[in-house]
Amino acid sequence: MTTYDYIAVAQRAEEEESRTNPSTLCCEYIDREQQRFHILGICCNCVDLDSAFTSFITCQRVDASNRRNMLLTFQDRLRIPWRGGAKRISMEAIIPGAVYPLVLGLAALNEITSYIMLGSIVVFLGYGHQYVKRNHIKTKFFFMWLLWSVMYMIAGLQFAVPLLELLPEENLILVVMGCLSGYLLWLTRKHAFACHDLPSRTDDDLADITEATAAEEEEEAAAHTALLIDNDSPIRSQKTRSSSHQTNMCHVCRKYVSARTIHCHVCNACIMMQSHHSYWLDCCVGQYNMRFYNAGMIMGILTLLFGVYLTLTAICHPLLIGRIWNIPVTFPDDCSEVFNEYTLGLSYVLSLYAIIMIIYQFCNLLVQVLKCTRGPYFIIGDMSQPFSKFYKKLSA
Amino acid sequence: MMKTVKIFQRKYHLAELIAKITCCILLIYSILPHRFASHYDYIRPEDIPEALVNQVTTNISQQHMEECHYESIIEENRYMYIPQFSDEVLKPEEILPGGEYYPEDCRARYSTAIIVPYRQREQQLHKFLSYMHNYLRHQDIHYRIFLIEQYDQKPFNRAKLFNIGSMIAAEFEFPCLILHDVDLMPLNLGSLYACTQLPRHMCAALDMWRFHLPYRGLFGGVVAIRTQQYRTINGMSNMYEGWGGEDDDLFERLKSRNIDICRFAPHLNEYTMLRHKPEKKNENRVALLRSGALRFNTDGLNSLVYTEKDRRIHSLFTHILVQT
Repeated sequence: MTTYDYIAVAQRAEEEESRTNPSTLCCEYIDREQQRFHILGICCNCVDLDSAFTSFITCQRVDASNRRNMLLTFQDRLRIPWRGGAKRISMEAIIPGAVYPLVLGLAALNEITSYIMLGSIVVFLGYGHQYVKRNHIKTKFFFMWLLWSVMYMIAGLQFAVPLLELLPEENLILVVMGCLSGYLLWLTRKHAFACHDLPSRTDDDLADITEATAAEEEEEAAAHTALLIDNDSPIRSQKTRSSSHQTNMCHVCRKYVSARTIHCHVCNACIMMQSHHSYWLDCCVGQYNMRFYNAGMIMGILTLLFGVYLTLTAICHPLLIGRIWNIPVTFPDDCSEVFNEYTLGLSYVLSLYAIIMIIYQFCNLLVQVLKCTRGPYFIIGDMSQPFSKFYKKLSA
Repeated sequence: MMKTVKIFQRKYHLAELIAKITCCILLIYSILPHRFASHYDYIRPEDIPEALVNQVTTNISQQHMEECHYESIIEENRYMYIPQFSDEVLKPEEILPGGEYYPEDCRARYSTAIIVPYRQREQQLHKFLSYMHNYLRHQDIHYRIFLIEQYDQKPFNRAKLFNIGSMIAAEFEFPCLILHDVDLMPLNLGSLYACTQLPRHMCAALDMWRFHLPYRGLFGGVVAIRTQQYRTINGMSNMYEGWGGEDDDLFERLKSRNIDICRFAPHLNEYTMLRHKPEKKNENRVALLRSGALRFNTDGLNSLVYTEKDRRIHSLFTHILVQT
């Protein structure tokens, strides 16, 4: 009798929960006014749009709040079917997908437009990158631009480059190198969260917070003194911290941090041994993912170099340098005829863009090597501490 | 609705599983070799002297001298494409009228008629003749260059000009034909201008295609074929006007007679192509290729109709002007 009652109670509770909160299908979503909508009703029930249109027809002025609500509704309704509900597409994801093929399509018309368009891409991306870096803006624009660039370069290699001039072995090498570099950069993003120095809820931390609130000026002076100390490794900094109790302190996170831990204003977290925040990967590069980042950059440079070599020797007039294991090694000799055919011009422009990417990545790698003078950890990171510390912080 | 799939004790969402399978399929497709250049079987350099057919014209066979040797030429494979070879003919007094040459210090083992179809390409012709005479004399073979010019306003019919050239070369008793384009020039001396037992594709490593062979059925550019073999397959088709298709038709003719083709090693086959404006393509070439098997015995040397306007003996070549 008692077991039967328990089962009945559980079933009744489950039914009530499913009735109140049915699971959303992949084409349904909950908008910003907490109402359920289907993706096919994208043009229905838009009050702001109706009122703005009415004001326009009757020659009245559209309110600023009405205009803002209209834009917000428009952004809210841009969705694609996804697991657990329709996923909202941000403008940061759409703009690179539209601008990039348009610019390169215009650049492939002739030689002058190719230089103009590629130059404007470089100027625009450079200025945008400096702007978001200076203002610590959190944006996925550069990450989506990188994804769209890679996808369009792959499509260009498959459809615009004459593949009958490439060997299957060369294509296999290119595919393997591309997959390896993609995997390494994916590992960089995957291990980015492990670099976060998360606040832990221990008694020591409570004591730290208490001291901070009690004597703030004293803590600031202590933090400045601690920043001047040049500790080499976090292990030593841990010992120093436990002994002196007066090491680095992050005022934003309100906690003590190890040496070489820098607060990232984009990630809103302290990053252990932070090198920089990579907008192209949309993550910080720190202690646990620096080796993957550097290896991915090197492999990316090699992949792009090999791809540019194959493309340019296929679409330009090749000059035979020699033979290695009976495979001809060529060099692009004369590229003056690539703009006579549009697909060859497009391949040429994609190759020039890849060369720009190679130069940019090489400069970034050079910066990493120059940082090596401050310590070898900026090349390989420090994997000596196990991940259990990371998981312990998470579980706490 | 079943949204998750359980595979090997792990649950996958259906969309995620489909996405992963699609990515794997695309990756495998991108590696498949059918869209790329082909490797091919070739005659090794040490087997080339045995593969070549020792046949000469009557006047060469009557010479009483020691035979020429060609092993060192193939082994050395000297790079010949230097600018002075294309500018002018060195020692033009060695060349007999009509563009004929045979070595004087030894008896040639191979006699070759080089048939060049031609129309309105004076600049390329000048480069071609200068280079080929400078090149071929280093090979110690007996050769004669026949230039077949199409002297009318019809679309260019390359295959028909080859048929006409083969008839004229047969008059001169040449046992070997080289069907040569005027814009192709060999880079290395090891590409001997002689015939093998099987028809040979000579420009298998063209610089326009990164010195690779796009597909194994490619049989264009420069082809060496024995005169008797050319007669056996009834020559080439006369119906391919404009650019394209007649090479593949020739390949299909050889295949229908169970005649295979051969190639030398890639480092001997390197050719360069002179730059020119692309020709107008033949729109009917696909249809002609499809129906080609029906016309192998009726369309070719036995249906060749042409008018020989003139035959001129120039110092560097034999000039045949024809109306097709």
